Amino acid sequence: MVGLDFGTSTTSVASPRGVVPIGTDESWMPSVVGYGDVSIVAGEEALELDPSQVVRSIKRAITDNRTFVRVDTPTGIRDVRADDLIVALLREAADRAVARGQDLSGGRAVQLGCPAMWDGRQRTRLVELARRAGLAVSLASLVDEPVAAGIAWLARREVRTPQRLLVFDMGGGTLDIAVLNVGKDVSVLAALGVAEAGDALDELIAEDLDNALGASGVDVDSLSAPRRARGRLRDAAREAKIGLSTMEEHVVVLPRRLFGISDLWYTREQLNAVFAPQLDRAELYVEAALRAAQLTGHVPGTASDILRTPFEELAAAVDVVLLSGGMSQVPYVAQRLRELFPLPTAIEVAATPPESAVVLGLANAARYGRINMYRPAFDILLEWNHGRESRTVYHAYTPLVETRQIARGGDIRYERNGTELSLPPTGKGKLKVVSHSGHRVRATLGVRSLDGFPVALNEEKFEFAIYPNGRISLTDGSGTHDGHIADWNLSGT
Amino acid sequence: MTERSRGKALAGRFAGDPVAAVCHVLRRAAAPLTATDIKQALQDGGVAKADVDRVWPRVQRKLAAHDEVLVAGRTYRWSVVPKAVTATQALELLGEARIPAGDKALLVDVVRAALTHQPENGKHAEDSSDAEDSGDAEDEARRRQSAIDAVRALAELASEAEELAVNEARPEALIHRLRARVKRSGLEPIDRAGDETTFDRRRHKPIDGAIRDGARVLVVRPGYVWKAPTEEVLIAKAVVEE
Repeated sequence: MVGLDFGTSTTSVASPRGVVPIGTDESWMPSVVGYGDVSIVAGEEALELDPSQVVRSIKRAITDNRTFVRVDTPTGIRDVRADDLIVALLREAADRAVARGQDLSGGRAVQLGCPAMWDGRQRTRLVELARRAGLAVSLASLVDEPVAAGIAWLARREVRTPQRLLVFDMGGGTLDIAVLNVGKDVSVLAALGVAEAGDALDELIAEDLDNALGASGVDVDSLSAPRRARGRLRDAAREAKIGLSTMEEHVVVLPRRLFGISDLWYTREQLNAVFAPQLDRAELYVEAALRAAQLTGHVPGTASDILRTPFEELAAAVDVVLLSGGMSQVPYVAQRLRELFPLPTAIEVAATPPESAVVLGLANAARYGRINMYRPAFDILLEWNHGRESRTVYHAYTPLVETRQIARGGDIRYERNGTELSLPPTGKGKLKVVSHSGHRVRATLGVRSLDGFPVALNEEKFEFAIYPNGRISLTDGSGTHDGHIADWNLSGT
Repeated sequence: MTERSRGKALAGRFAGDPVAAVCHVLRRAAAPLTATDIKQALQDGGVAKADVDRVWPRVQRKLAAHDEVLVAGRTYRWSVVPKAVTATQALELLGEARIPAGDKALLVDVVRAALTHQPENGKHAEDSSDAEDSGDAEDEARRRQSAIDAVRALAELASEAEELAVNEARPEALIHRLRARVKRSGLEPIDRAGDETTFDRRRHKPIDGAIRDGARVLVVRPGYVWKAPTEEVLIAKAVVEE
C-alpha cells in the first residue's frame, strides 16, 4: 500500500513504514511543472526553468475548475491544458516511487489524497489524470486529506472507544477543518476549507518589522536602497517565524550599511499579535465546522437548534484536536486552540512532522473503513423505461449541508423534486445506488432496500431528501416513504 | 412462499438484473457453486436456458469483479469478507456471530498467515509483503535522506554564521541565533562560552590535563545534549579550563 499526496506546493509518497523520500534533496518533490526546451518537466528540474515557463501550485487548476493555464512554451506563450501538466507531475512522482521500491501496480495499491471540499467532478478529474499517469486508481482510492491526517494519528494508537476529532490543517495555501468520528471506521461529519493561508503571515511579520524599525527611528522609505531593504525584511520575516517556533524571542540581524542599525529583537508576543486576526477568523471556521457536524448526529435538528447550541457544548464533544500542515508549527496555533477548547480536549500533532500527516495517513488508509457523511460517496439514480432513461437524484460528494442553510434556519437537508429533474408525469421507475467508496451502501426506504426501490413516477409529487443524520425521505405517486442510510450508524456518534 | 412463486420471483429478478439474480442464488447456496450449478438453479427458478446462456459471459465478468463474490478455481461463493482483508479486520470479523463457514475458514487463514509470518519490530503483518519487495530500495532512500538532512542542517548553520559575521552581528545576537538554529534539531547547550562555573566530570571536559570536581572553571566552548524523542544523548561536553 502506497500513499501519494499531491499537494499544492509539494508532492510526497509514503509506505506503511513511513515517508519514502522522492525528492532530489528533500523527502518531497516540489509540485512544480513547466515547459523545458523539448518536453514537459516536473519537480526540481522545473525550478531551473525561467519562471514564465513554469506553473507552481498546478493542483489549484482542479480546485478552481480551470482547464487551461498560461505558460511560455517552446512555441511561444500559450494556454496549455492543466491536465497534461498534472499527468506529467503525477507520472514523475510515480516513477520516483517505483525506483524506490514501491509497487504501484494492481488494484487498491495506491491511495491518493484530495481536499475534503472537492466535489464529484473534481475527484473524478484527479482519478482520470492519475490513471493517465499509469496509476491503478478509482474513486475508492481517494481519501479526503483531513481524514488522512486523522488516520496518521489513529494508526499510531489503539482506539478502544469512538473518538471525535477536529483536524486543523493550516498549510501555506488553505485552512482545512474537518470533524471526524474515529473508531473501527473513520467518518467525516463535516469538512470545510477556506483560502486562509499561512503565507499571509510572512507579509504581516515583514510589515511589523518595518513598523518596529520606524519605532527605532529607521524609516525604510528614506534608506538609500528601500527595495533591497524590504527584500531583506521579507527574508527576515520568514526566518523570524521559524526562529520563534522554538524560542521566545528572535534577533533579526541587519546589515548596518543598509539599515543604519545592526539588529532588532522580535518576540513571540509580537508575532502572536499580528497572527491573531487570522486565528480569530479560524476560530469562526472551527465553530462553523462543529455546528455542521452536529447535524450529522443521530438527533435530527433544525438550523435554529444548531444555532442555539452554545459553542462550549460543541467544543466539549471533541476528544482531540489534531494539528496538521506546516503552519501548525507556529506555537500560537496550538495556544489559541488550547484556549478555545476545554481542558479534557487534547491538542496533539497528527504526525511528526505535521506536514507529513496526510501522506502517512494515506499509506495506512486501507486499514480503516471510511464514510463521508458530509459528502456521501455514492450516486442515487432514478431509472425508468428499462434503464434507458435516468436522472441523477443525488450526485456523489455533493455536500448535504450548505453553510447558508444553517444561517437561514429551518430544516436542513439535501433535496430534489420532480420538476427540477424533469420527470415524466406518470410511469414506473426504480432507484439505483452506485457506490464510489468500494463499499456497498446499506440503505432502506420503508422495509425495502433503497437500491432497486420502485418509484411511481410523478413530476409534480416527486420529492427526494437526504438529511445529514442519514434519514431519507421519498414522496412519489404512491405516497411518502421514510428510510435510513444504515452505514451512518457505524460512526459511533 | 411456494416453489412456483419463488421460481417466478427469480425469473422476474433475472429479467430485471441477471447479476442480481445470480447473487441471490449464491447467497442462498450452502456451498460454493460451479457455473453449471448456477445455470441449473436459474433454470429451476423458471429462467429459459437460452436466456441464461445468452447473458452468461457478461454475468461471469461482473461476478469476477463483484465485491461479495469469491471466485476460487471453477466455483463461485457468496462472501461477506472484503477482498483485501487485513489480519486485524479478519480477527474482528471472526468475532461476529453470523459469519458463513466458508468465510470463517478464509479468515482463519488470514490470521494464521499473519501469525506465522510476523515481521520484525512489531510492524503490521499486512505491511510485510510491501516491506519485503521494497525494503532495500526504500530503506536506502531513507538512509540517504537522513544523511542529507543532517548535512543540510550543518550547511544552513555555516551559511547563517557567515551571514551574521559579514553583517557584523553583536556577539549576543550571534550566539542567540546559532543556539536557536541548533535547538530546532533538538540540541540544548551546556553552559556558555566565557562563563565561570563549577567543574562537573559528567558535563565538562578539561581543555588540558585533569581538573578535580568542584573546582572553579572557565567555559572555553559550550557542550551540547541532543534531546531525541526517546532519549538524551550527550553529543559534546563543555570544554573548560581552570
